[in-house]
Amino acid sequence: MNVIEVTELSKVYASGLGRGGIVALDGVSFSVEQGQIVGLLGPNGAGKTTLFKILLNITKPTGGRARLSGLPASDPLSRQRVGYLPENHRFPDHQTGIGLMELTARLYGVESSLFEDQLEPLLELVGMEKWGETKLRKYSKGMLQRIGLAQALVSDPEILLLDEPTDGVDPVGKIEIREALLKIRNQGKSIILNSHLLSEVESVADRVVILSKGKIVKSGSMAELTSQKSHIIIEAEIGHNIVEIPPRLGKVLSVSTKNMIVEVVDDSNLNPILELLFLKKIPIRSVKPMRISLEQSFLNTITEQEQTG
Amino acid sequence: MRGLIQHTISELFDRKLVYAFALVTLVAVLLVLFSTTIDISFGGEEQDLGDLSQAMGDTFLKGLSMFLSFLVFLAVMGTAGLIPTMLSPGQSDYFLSKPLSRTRLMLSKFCSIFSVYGAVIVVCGAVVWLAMSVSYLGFSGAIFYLFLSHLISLFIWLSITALAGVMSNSSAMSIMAAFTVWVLKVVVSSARAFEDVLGSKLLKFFLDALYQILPKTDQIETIGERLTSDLFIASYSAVWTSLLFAVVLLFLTVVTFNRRSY
Repeated sequence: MNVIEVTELSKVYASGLGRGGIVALDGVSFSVEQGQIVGLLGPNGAGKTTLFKILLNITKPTGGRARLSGLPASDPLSRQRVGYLPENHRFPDHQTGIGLMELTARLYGVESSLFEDQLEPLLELVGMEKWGETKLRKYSKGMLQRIGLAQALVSDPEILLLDEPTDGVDPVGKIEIREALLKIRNQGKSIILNSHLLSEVESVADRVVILSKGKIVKSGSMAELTSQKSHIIIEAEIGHNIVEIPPRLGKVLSVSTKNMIVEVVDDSNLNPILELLFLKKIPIRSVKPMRISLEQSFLNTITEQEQTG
Repeated sequence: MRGLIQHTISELFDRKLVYAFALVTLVAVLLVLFSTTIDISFGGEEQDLGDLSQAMGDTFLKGLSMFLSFLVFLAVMGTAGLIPTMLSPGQSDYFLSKPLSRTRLMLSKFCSIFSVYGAVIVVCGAVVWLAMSVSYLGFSGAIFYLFLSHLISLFIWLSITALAGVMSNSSAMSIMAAFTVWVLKVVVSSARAFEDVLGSKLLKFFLDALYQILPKTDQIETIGERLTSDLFIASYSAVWTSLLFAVVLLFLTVVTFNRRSY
């Protein structure tokens, strides 16, 4: 079941002089299934935060539509089961951590008894149980992120929109937040994670959507994005054999005594290449597509996008 | 609504405004207590003590009314930044992402500010009134009208700062808007006194129209004073037209807020 559906969403910010405008989103369409963590990636100004703001009706779209849990984003009820941690948030700093969570609970209409029951577990989840009574103005950036995550969870949301959740958080905190996200995902909740830390997204996300200049330039499962189908790793007892591959089939990128990386021109060329190895009586242990890091995949995508204009 | 009321109360304490109200009230109470010993010189002529008592009562009533007006002024200055703060970058995301319609969010915030600061004005005014009553005035339920008229004033001024706050996202602009309306109000009232000597009919019409449109908080407070003193009120039009002005401004506030992207 799709909990988020975005169709042909566009947003143009009016420029100061009233002519033209800045295109923040340009015909973006995607969906998020229940229980998925989706990583939203893109360079600065790609439209990631604008997308979040449109989903929450903070910003009005110029065109297209967005639905949360089957309801249009403009309907306040669509936000009833959505938790949000904004980027560059500035929570009312005269509140304590617990005060902020209580205010959030009241704005969501969460009953007092229910809120009291979940207060301690939530503070524990984000590692803030000792700091609940402290005013937010005394918090460090990392502590603000943690309490921000806790307030996003107060309404027991089905959907979590997290904009740079580990910004300013120390390495231990990052690991804790990552584990918390996986725990939340395992409860059947859906998370859209907007982060510049690609390794973090890679470690938790099921799917990735890459935005650039307001458009989706790539999306797919983590495996799809990090595998290079044309690059094949062949583990084999090559030893000191010389393997030559005709250019029409592909080319050898690297070779060692135990494996070789081959760039195939076409998927159908893989079998003829393997036959060449059989003919030389080289035992083959495994054949798999080469994986690259999400970071590399992201950079490749953005570079391609910039080159094609 | 309850959450926003609690939030507004915590803002009141955080901004130290509550201390300003307490200090002003303390000064007023001390003034009342020290002004009850009054030397009266009869000058050898017979005086009707009933008239004197009435005169003293009117003076204290006027004083209490001025004190309440000052509290309203403090409240308007102190709250002008609350809506712009709620809509500032970083905080607007927090409030707008909650499952409340914008109309409900804005009206709840407005009502929270009005009820919290209205309550503070009533409590501070009541303390001064009690001091006056114990020392001189005697208790009268009619004082309710005086408080009510100042609460109506507060409502009107808050509607001006709310609209300016939503349109400009700036505390300074909200305060300036309230001042501008106040100055306009004084200028138009003064100019109308001379309208018979103004040659231009168009100017007269313009001044009359502006006078009708602008809120008439001074007149509302005077009505409150007269009702408290059980005096005849010729017309309540100042109350209705001013309330209409505030309601229209509130409507524009909500419409503007609903149309905005943050």
